[in-house]
Amino acid sequence: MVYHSLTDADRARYEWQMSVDQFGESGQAKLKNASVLVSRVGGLGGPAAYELAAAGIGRIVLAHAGNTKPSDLNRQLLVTDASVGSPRVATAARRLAELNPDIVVEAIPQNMSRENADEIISGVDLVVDCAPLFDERYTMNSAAVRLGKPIVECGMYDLEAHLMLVVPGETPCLACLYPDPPAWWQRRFPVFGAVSGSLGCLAAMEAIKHIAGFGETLAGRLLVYDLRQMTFRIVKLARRAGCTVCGERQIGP
Amino acid sequence: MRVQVQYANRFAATIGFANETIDIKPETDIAGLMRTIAAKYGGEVSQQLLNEAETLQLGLLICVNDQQILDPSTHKLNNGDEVLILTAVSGG
Repeated sequence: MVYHSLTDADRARYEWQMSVDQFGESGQAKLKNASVLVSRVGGLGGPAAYELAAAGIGRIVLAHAGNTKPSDLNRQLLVTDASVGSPRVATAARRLAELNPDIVVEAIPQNMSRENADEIISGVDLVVDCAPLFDERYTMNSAAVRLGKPIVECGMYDLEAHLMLVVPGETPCLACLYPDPPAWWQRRFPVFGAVSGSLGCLAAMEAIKHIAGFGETLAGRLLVYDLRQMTFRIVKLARRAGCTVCGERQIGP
Repeated sequence: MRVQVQYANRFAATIGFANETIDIKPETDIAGLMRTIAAKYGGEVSQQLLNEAETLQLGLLICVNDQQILDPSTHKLNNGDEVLILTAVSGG
């Protein structure tokens, strides 16, 4: 793999964040040489991808099927009213390229599935899971654990949001928390864009911290916040010995 | 003895508030607490917590004193414990 050093243009673009304590030029270089998959670019993945692009992640892969709908516009900040009816992921990729033309953005007009997960995830350093369906999330969780790729897991309902970082071999995975999905979950759920946007920004920060190796991530911990009451708490998570995904025998190289 | 129960969004919306103190007998485990809550509120709350076999519903995450409990059915509670009842949520 070719190592990309920082250029003068990089230093000019990122000088404000490079002054962050413990990040600096070395952290910025790590971001430049990193690749991240953002699965779905809706209300959650859109802001996450936007922040990752702004921060200078060298290669961002976006995966999301379908066209933009009017009902997307309350929260999906990478699409516009004029793009309704057009492929969502292509619009999102253009927005990222407009923001930061120095990074590579790849658009895959597919949702993650058992058919494509291994191939796509094996080509990136980290995954940000912003999928709305549990089957999709479990598929990504399994592939990421199998391939040894860290995965930022995020979800929300109403004004409540959850965030965690899975580091294969070190922390609990999604299936350790929830061996089975809730029976009541439905594709459409109540959400404000400000809730999904806040969570997308936090997910991006988790990815940045993990890649650059500074700060304290949510590895092995779950952040739960409720913007209805403005409460924030972190709970410690535990690996499930018999987890069908990350139990000792399932973790591969 | 008494425990503090914190309800996640969906439970709080159904019950009408986010936390309360509940009296339980010594040696009560988390499953017992869930049955107490289900009996207290019945209906939708009961269905969200317990399945037809009276065991915990899928997709619940129970934490005691900010620590995930892997086997809620056998975890005994202590006086003053804070129990957080969460449900799995997803992205989008």
